[in-house]
Amino acid sequence: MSPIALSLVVASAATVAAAMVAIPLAHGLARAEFRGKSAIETLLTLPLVLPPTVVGYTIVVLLGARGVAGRWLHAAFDYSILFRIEGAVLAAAVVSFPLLYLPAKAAFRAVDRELLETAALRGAARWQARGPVSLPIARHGIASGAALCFARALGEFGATVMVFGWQPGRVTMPIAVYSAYEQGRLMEAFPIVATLTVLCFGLLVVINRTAFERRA
Amino acid sequence: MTLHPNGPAARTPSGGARRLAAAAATALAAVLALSAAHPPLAPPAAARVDPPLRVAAAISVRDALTDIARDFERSTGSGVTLSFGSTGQLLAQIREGAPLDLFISAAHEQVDALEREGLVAPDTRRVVARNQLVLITPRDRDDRRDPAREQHELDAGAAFPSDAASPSDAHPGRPAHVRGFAELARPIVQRVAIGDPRTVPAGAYAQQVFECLHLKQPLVRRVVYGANVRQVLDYVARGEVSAGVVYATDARAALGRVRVVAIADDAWHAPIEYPAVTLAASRRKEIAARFTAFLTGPRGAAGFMRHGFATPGASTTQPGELRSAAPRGSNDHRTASPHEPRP
Repeated sequence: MSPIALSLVVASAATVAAAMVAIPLAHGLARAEFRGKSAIETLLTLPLVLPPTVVGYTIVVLLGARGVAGRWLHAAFDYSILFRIEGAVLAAAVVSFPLLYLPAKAAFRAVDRELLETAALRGAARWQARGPVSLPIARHGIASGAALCFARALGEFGATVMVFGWQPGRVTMPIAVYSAYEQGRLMEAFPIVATLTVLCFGLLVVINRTAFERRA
Repeated sequence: MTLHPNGPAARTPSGGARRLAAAAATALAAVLALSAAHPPLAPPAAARVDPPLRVAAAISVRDALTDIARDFERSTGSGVTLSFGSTGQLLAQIREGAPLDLFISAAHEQVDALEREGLVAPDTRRVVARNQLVLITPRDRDDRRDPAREQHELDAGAAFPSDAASPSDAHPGRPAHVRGFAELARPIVQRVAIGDPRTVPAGAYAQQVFECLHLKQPLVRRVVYGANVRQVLDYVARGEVSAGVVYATDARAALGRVRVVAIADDAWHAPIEYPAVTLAASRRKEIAARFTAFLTGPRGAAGFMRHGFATPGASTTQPGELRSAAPRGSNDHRTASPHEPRP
């Protein structure tokens, strides 16, 4: 698999994985009030400011073959998340998670409370107010969050290189750039650098558009 | 927002900021002092006027060279300053004109490059040590062998612990361990770690072994690169890979964490030699030559051998001390026999 294809696969999977956790959590926490909520929210946004190497370290220490939880997996199934594509997906998903979670939460919070109450008055069950009513209204926020999350996952290097390592013929775009740099072959990295730049530029254009539409 | 440096709001934090800055400066100074160049090894004996000989060496000879340089200083009274790095890093430093007298490289290739660029004093290249490649596997937690005892055996002069590569200790119920290079082709081997062949000489040699034993194809998609030998050791020690290929000396230094299961035959890869060379820019070529002679002499050789290196004299046909416990002609050879080693 070429670095471009591998990166697209990893970033897509990471975005889907992050969305499956972030959207329900964002919806649940947008309006909930309980003790310890701020601690949980801080924890969820922590990867935004934490160095990716710390995320990589945590994954290795927890899920590596001799890791806290990983040793059971390794003993039972001879499985270790290192060097596997799901490891790269996990690393990218954790690092880019807050970029999807934060806009999604803001979008859910912006959904008019009266609208939800009206829906309830008109007989919508709680779950209906949750999904069918809130989701379409929050879709712009979620979409721009997902695009940001995808762009960040595409560029993830620090945690990915620690978990996925460096396998010949199996490198993501950022790893390919670094590897070319390390060998002093800067020109080899140019096509990948150009691709990444154009791709991320396009993504940001889309994000800015959706954000603008929402305001309008 | 505009800043008012004299305003009351700004004054209060500035005292704290100044104290913080002072603390940061102190910390920085401490860090700089700690990370300063490797100090000369000998005590500043009797008003030495000559500046010390400046040697840059591949990191893999660090322990051995430190010992030998200390010995040299004791016996000659001239000082030696050592600095270590990856061969590639040192090469870049030399090209940029770092003040160095002697360069000890992990491979000839880099010295060849310097020679072409006219940065090397002619006819000063001497091979000071040789190394070997070994196959290592993770050391099980329930490993009954005692690393301390193995270390003792090593100190007593054995190249590797007596029960290295002995087939008697298979763990029933667990997939058998890899015991030789040829077994790397077996499907139970999930992953094999080597140094990145493009930047790590040990990885380049490992790849030569794979090519020679026709393992390259079976191992495709199962090889993982380490950024350096230490990372390869770490992957193996943590059990993330089934096996790894490193220098004998590195494996020896990490014996508590990994097991050495086989030694690569010297015929499977280009000779692993450490050449020392005096740099053209050196103004102390005479002392550099004396130090080189010391390295290749009996005391240098003893120092290198203490740390698991073979000496330049030890040839492939005449196994040196390093090979004394090597599984020569054992199952590794037999299983590899369909693929004759490169002539």
